[in-house]
Amino acid sequence: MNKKKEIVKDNPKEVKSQLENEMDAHKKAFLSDTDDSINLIPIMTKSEVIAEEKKVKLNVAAILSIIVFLVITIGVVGYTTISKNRLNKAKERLQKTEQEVKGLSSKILSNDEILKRIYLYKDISSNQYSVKKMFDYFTKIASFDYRIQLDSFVFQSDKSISFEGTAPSLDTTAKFWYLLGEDEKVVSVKLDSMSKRNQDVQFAFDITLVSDAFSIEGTRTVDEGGDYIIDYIEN
Amino acid sequence: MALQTPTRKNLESISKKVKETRLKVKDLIVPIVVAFILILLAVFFFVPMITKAQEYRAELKQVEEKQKQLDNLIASVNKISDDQLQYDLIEVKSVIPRTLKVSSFLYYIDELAKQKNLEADSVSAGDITLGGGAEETDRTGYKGVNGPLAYTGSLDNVLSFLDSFYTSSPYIVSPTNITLERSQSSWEVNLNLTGFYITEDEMPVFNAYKPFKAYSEFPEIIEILQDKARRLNAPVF
Repeated sequence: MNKKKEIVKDNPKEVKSQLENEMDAHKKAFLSDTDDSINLIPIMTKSEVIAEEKKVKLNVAAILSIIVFLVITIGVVGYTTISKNRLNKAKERLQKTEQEVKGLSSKILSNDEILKRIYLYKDISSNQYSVKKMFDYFTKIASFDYRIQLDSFVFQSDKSISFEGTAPSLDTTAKFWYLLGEDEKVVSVKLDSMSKRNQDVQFAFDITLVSDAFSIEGTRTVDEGGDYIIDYIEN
Repeated sequence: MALQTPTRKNLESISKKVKETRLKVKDLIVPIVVAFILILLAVFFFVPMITKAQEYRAELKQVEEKQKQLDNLIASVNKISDDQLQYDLIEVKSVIPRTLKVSSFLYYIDELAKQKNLEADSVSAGDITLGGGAEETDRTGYKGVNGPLAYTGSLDNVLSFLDSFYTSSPYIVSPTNITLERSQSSWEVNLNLTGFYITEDEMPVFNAYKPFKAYSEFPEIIEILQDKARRLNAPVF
């Protein structure tokens, strides 16, 4: 203590500046201590203020969270309720319409009866072909040699025919075979049998034809309802 | 000395206050609890509710589609005249009946052969159910009267007879396995001829949601069937 007194006595300026520094620090610690009034409430320090601000922020965040939660809850519940109400209304309307349709059931069943028959007709007529056209066509091909004679025909379908006949020679038979193979309406030709006899050659051809080559005009209808037929049958 | 002591005390009290006002864990409890509740609600309340709402909306879409389909059905059905429908149904059913009598069927074929000056070699018929591998007939399940026929005559008459099957027969017929053979001056034709009919359910099941197509969309076929019906119902002399 004596030493300190000596220092004060020796260096009064240093002591003064030290005191001033302490006062500044004191002022910095207390935010408002400049007025002359008496403050009974303990003065908040800067760090106290920061902490209080943080608390206020947290409280605001909590309030905001609750508000958001409420908004979301109201939104979700509202969305679900509205959806359910709309569904119920639509179902009620559908039920009424179903009752109305039931009143038309006999008319619809009658329509279906007619449709079944229309599709049967379409199905059968789509496979119809003209035997006369087929016969005339192959007879015409054979007419390059008047001695070729076609004796027997088998019409399996609109895409398949076989016939037997006789030709004067093997050359003529070969030529006839070639002409059949080159024909635009013929897909493939198979020489089923061929036998050389004393005066002529007997042959038999199996022929595959292109689709619709000999269909009967007017009976084949465009299958515009094709997809519908499948749906109709499946249902 | 007099200044130093209160200043230190003040500073100590300040530091103590600072320590007391520092953010503590208990200050975070409320926001953490709120966040936790929010997460719990989201998992156990919001997500199921939204899922349910999505299901409602998906169902609503289906219901609306059904509603639209039924509205279109009603509009389409109302376009068909009741009287015309009944008239057409009777005519079409006479051409493709519920059962086809063999005698009726053969009568028209034989009449056609007579018109073409053909001689009958053999005529027979029996009831068969079509299907058995043929996909189209199998799926529709319609039936037919089938029998082998044989006629003899000139080539022109035989060919004309074969081509007239489709147009002259009032029934829906289809020849198969046609063989044409020369026999001296005449030609002999052998074939299997099938006349078709449709069996009907006694208690047809009505399904409002089955795709609907008005028969009136096929006027050409209706006209053909009506023409056949007129020939079928014409008086026989």
